[in-house]
Amino acid sequence: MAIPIQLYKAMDDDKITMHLLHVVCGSRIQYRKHCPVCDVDVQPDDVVRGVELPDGRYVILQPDEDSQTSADRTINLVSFHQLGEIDPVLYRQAYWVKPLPGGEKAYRLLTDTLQETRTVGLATMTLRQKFSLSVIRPVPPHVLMLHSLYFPESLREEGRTFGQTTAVISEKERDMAKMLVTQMQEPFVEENYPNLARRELLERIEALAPNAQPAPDARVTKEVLSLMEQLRSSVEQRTQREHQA
Amino acid sequence: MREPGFFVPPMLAVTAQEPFDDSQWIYEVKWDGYRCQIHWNGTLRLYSRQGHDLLTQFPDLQDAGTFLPFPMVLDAELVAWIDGHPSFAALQRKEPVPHRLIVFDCLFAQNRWVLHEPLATRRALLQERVQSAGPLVVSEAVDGQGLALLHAVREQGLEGVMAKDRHSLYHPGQRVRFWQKFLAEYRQWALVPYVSRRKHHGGWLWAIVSAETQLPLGLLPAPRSWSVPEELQQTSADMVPLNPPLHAEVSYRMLTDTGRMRHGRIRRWRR
Repeated sequence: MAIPIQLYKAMDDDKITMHLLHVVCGSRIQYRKHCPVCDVDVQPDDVVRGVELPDGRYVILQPDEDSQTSADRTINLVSFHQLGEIDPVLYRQAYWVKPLPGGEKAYRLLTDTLQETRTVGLATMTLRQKFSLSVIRPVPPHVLMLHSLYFPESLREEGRTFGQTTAVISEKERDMAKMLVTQMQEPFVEENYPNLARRELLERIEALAPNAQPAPDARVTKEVLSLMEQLRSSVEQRTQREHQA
Repeated sequence: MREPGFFVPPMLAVTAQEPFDDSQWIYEVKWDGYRCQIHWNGTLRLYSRQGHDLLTQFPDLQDAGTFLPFPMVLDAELVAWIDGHPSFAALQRKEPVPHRLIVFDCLFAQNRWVLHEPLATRRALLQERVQSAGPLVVSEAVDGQGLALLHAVREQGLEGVMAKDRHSLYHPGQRVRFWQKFLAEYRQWALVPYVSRRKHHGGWLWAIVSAETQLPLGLLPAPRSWSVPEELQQTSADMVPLNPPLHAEVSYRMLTDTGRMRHGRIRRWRR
């Protein structure tokens, strides 16, 4: 069974987009692809992707080798699991899943079934031309969310041993620690955790907005357009005067 | 027909005998710059009127393609912009000033060449698909009002007006009568305080100096109606003062930013 759907990115990036400007003229600076050996700016056609080998040599990947390009845009549910079985460390990016016309009923059926069986679906998909894993889970009341996943083997294993110690912990210490945690336990209320630094930065940007300089680029285009507008209105005025005369 | 990326010699205009109004024609500003054909098919190419590469000379235009749907081929004028006006001198001298591509015609869009479509259709395609963004500015045209536009253009010190028959097709490389240019000429009476012997041709040049400001307007070939006086023929000096100076009415398309005449000529003169 196939359900037509569309994905919408669910989480806003909390960073504010900034550009690098040339302080002298306020223009956006450009990044050029430059070859230091030939001392030329490199054209897009003259660029290939290479991977450095341990010995310092490069293998060059042809376009069809480095991206397992696939036109397949389906998401295949392959198995179902308990949500807790999947370690949160694997979660990458969240998407809202929206049913497209004709898919509403099957979408609701899948959502309700996942909710009632308290399971999530594991799916394979091709996202941005890369084969990847994802989890599809129900979110109350009746919507599905998709999380793209890291492959489990991406986890760096070195951290697993960081907790090893020879220190001995007494029963009393354990009880004290548990008591402390229990006392500080409380329901997780999302509103209690605003991104204060971001809000503060946005306020600063807003306060600076009246002094913002138009980008010089946009200014020139505005000048050209306004010159054409002046000419047009002067033509109109002249035509009107002639009609009146 | 060739794919976008290959140069198509641009269509050229004749100079109009007399400026005119015609309801079937559209009129645009004739911008003082370099003719430029824009090809965008993932790779940007900018061709000069002769088909030479303009992008290496004006690398600041390299992101022009990203503002276009591709593939697309456009006809445009490349201008250098200083203080609210185009500057041909800044363009020629490659000064680091902002450049704009003022696009006025569309030769390829929707995966097909549209040279055989009338201008009105090509302009509609242009207006639908291209917006004034980045280095691109879409040229605005007025309908039927050629004389009024020429008047306005002259007041702004611009080069002239392009008049185009709205039914005209695009004939590559041809100078056609469906495109005519009205040149905004300027005239003034100036002084000729000295004459100068032309270096290699042996002819004489007149030094033209503004009667108002006394600033030099340039050197122009002496009119044929002027016979070289005896005493000048015998002199070996390169520059000979005229006392009293002659008066010449000069006409020119515009003054460069150093105050020199471009396309200057002597209309008439008197002692």
